[in-house]
Amino acid sequence: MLKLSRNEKIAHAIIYFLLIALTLAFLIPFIIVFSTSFISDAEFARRGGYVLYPEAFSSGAYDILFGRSKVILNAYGVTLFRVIVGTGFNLAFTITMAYALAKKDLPGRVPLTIFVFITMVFSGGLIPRFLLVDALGLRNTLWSMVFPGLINAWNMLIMRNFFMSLPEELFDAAIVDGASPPTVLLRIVLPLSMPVIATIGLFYAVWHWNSWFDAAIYIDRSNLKPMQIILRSLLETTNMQGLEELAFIEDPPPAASLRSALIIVSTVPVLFIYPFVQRYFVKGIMIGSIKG
Amino acid sequence: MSRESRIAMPRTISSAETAKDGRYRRLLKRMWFYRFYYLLALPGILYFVIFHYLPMIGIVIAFKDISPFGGVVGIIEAPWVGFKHFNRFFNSIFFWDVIENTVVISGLKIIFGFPAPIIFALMLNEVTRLKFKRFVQTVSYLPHFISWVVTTGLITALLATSGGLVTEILNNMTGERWTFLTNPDQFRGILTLSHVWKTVGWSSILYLAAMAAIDPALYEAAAIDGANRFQMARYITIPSIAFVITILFIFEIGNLLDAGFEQILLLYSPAVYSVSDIIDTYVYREGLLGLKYSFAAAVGLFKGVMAFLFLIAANTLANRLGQPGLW
Amino acid sequence: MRKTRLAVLLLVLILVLPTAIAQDEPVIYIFNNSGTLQFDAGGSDPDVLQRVQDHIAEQSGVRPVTIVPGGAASATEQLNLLLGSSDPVDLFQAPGNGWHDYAMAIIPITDLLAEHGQNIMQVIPEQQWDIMRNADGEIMGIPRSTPTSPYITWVRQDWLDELGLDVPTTWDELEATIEAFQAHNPEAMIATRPQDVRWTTLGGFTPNGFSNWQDPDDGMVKPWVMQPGVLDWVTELNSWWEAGYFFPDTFTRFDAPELFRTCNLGVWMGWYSRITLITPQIESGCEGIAWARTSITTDMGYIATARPQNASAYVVTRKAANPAAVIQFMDWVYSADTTDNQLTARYGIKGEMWDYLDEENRVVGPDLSFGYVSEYMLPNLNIEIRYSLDDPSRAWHVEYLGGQLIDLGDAKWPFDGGVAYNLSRVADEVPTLGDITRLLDEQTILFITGQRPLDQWDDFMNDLQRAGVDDWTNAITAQYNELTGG
Repeated sequence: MLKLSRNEKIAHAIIYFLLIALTLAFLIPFIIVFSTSFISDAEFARRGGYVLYPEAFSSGAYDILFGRSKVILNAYGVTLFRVIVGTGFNLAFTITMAYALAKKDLPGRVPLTIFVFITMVFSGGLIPRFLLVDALGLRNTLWSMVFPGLINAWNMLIMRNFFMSLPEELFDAAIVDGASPPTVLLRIVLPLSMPVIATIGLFYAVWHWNSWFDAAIYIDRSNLKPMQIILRSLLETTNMQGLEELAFIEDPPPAASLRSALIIVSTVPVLFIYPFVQRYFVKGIMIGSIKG
Repeated sequence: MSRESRIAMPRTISSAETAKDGRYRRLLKRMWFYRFYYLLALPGILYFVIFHYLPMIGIVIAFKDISPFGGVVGIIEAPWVGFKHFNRFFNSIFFWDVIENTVVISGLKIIFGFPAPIIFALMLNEVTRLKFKRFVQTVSYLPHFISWVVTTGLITALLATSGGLVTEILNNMTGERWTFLTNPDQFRGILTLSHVWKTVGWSSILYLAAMAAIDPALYEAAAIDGANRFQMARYITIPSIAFVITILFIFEIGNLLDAGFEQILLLYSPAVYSVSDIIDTYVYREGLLGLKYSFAAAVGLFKGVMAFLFLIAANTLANRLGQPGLW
Repeated sequence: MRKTRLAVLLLVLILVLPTAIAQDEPVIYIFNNSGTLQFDAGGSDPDVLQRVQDHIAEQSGVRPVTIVPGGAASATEQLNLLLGSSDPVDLFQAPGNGWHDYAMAIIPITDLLAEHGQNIMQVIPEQQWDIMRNADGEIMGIPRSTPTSPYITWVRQDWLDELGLDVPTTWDELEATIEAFQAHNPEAMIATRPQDVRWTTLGGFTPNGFSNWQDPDDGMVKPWVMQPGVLDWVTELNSWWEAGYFFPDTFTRFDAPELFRTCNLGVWMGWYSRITLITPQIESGCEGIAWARTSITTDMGYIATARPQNASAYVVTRKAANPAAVIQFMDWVYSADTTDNQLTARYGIKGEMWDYLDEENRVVGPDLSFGYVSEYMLPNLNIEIRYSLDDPSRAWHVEYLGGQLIDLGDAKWPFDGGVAYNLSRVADEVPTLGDITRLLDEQTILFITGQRPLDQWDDFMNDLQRAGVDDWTNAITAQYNELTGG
């Protein structure tokens, strides 16, 4: 442990204070949602849909959700498929391309980068993309949520820049030692890049978790719809003003507790991904160990 | 991080080639030498060709009057209308209004939202208690998982002019009456603040990942030289993550015309149109009046061209400053 | 070109035929965006849905397969893309401007209705079909909407009783009531919404209320804002705003259940179901809360404007492999003799998932625990008011649907209500339609809330001219004259 000067101690105190304040700012809205998911209809009538703590715990909202467990569990299954299989495909395709484009002497590297970059700013729009997915026969399959978003240009370019920031002496030395390029990728680049691979993997996984629009237009069958579709359809009705005029035959707005419970059910599981990823952030020491 | 280093090059080629067809053959040889890398890039290239370049043919929609439900045939058969849809956008009496709002809101989000995660990551980097660090980090990602539909619901509830928790506290503290969502002066502040709240933790991940890759030996050496924590942050941490900062900044500039559609759509109202109507909300409302797919495509193309120019400018600037940008 | 269509048709046939052969009955595909499934994009429990489908197939002779939109906000997008896709879709609800927008994708159903749609023709009144006809007199869809009076001013009955006041019947009495409420409870307030305030109050200040208006000077049909009296309306509402009657966020964003829950709302000017559906939810928190529906007048007549029928419709697609089966199915749901079929579509199998508690008066007791979420419900007010519910949270609402909602007696009827404008064509002919709409939405609110001084009203009128309001007037007037033979 390094010794801290007085100034540094004051700075640290300020940092800790700010971080605690920020943590509260992040946490309180979530606590409100969490608490609201446990209030009863009677308590809502008295205190409203945004409470810091419920006066009495009512699991009514969760009972309703689990009463429809077949549909909810099925939607979870679809989401899990997306997150696991989808992220796997994303990483495989992203890493390979990023590694190739990170080679500074690769002939055609700049044109290839521009080739990717152009797709970030120009797109054919919704209709052509849809017609393509339709023509490829991906509609109403789980793959329609995997293949159209196989590589995110943004993620790929970031990963490429991370690869480019690795000290090249390592590769030179390995190649001089007779290692083939595949060996370099598998044995040197990947282990050294675990923080960024974990990060980009996390980005992809969470993107899959949160996505809904692709499923909304590519999927018609209820049994292939992910969790987010169910969540959104419930939330939209209360927030998009003017929607009620669609139908005179309305049901009462879903209870605040039910909305909150659905948010919790669809958010909390993804938080458990994070500890798996975090290991790689703490272990950023590898470069040193390999060098040494 | 600009490390001067050369990859091991095929040493045979440099010497014995004649100048003329030599260049061509040399290139082919070099490409053959790198064949493995091309093979690795191939699946990605195919993906971009199929899922991005093929649909890009659809840009013609911007110059036609299409009906969305005609399928491919419908697009081919639709009449050409030249720049009709572009003119419609440019000639709107709200055109400059909408552009100004987009750029100002985006600009505010960059000014406050871009440095925030860097500062947050630097602060976290100073935390030595691992459990606390992990807790703060995990909590900071929560807002990313709460969709805008929920976030805006919370904002309207907390900032409601009567009964809103935040409003009541501020009213009592300042003795004034706060009207956040109705007041054009404060509306952009709400947009910026809620944007920062939602993105600061999540955006800090990349910086933390970059910090994790810094060689601890550098800090140890600096400590031996008597550097304090500020100096370490200034001379080791920040330069080591500069390449991430650069590329993310380039992307931010590229997104200048995306000011946050969903957030604004769910928060704005006619009373604050004058400070919050952005390109995307304008197009959305146009779409409600009819099936305006061609109009949306035209505005999309306009945004694409602008983004392209911004990105090139930002990338050139980065290269001038000696940072590796996009290329 | 032909070949492509043929290929698409063949593909549809290949996809549809195997299922059709296997299951005897013709299969139809319904994109159910009728708005009744908003809360349940996940759909029914699959086993239960299958059983309901089998049951309906047995009863109606048509096997309906439904596609549930993935959320209300993207439903139209999904529909438009689906129509251009290779997948089958036979029946949907034309949203937005109604069937006109989809004229290219749908077929006329006049003959099909004559042959298979006797029930539908019987339960939907004659005059509600006018807006469904195209220029050749062909019926393009089955009406979805009906003329109603949903935007009404409501006053707290319990407060009136407490203060010994009568339900106000004039604008001045309404103002006096609000003053009395605020004297009694300083937190008392009025709430409305930017659109709702037009529907509920414009009638009291203008000849036609929230409606287009024919200028007697030049015979042109002009937008509501150009009526004489609109400035008076804005001035009056501005004075109400300045007097502090309104809930401060009423023209911006607010969470309606949260607002109602405060119990401080004294007057609601707006969409009826906020009252009929939210009140039962918050009743236990606001002791004794009760609402009175008002019918208020000024010397210009009723302050409310009725909402005419629009062109939204259930339509049959060109892709439909068996259009007759589509109409057969609809006709089964819309049976004139019994409510059994429509209740089956809404609640599932009779005797199991619902039954009559009182057959005579058609009081229904559904059992929602089966997890069937109304995939087959294709509502129209004309049939939905034929039964009532034994459910305290919805009983009032359902009763209101069949009574006061369709009573147009105390609202102004728009001057061109029920005229079947082709709004898609208007949008094409008026490239600045979006600008005009924004000006109207934005500026009227700014004037009411005093953010723009009233003496700038003429500048606003000039802005409208600059935005091309004359193009709009020309387009609408031309259509009005065409359609009414004027």
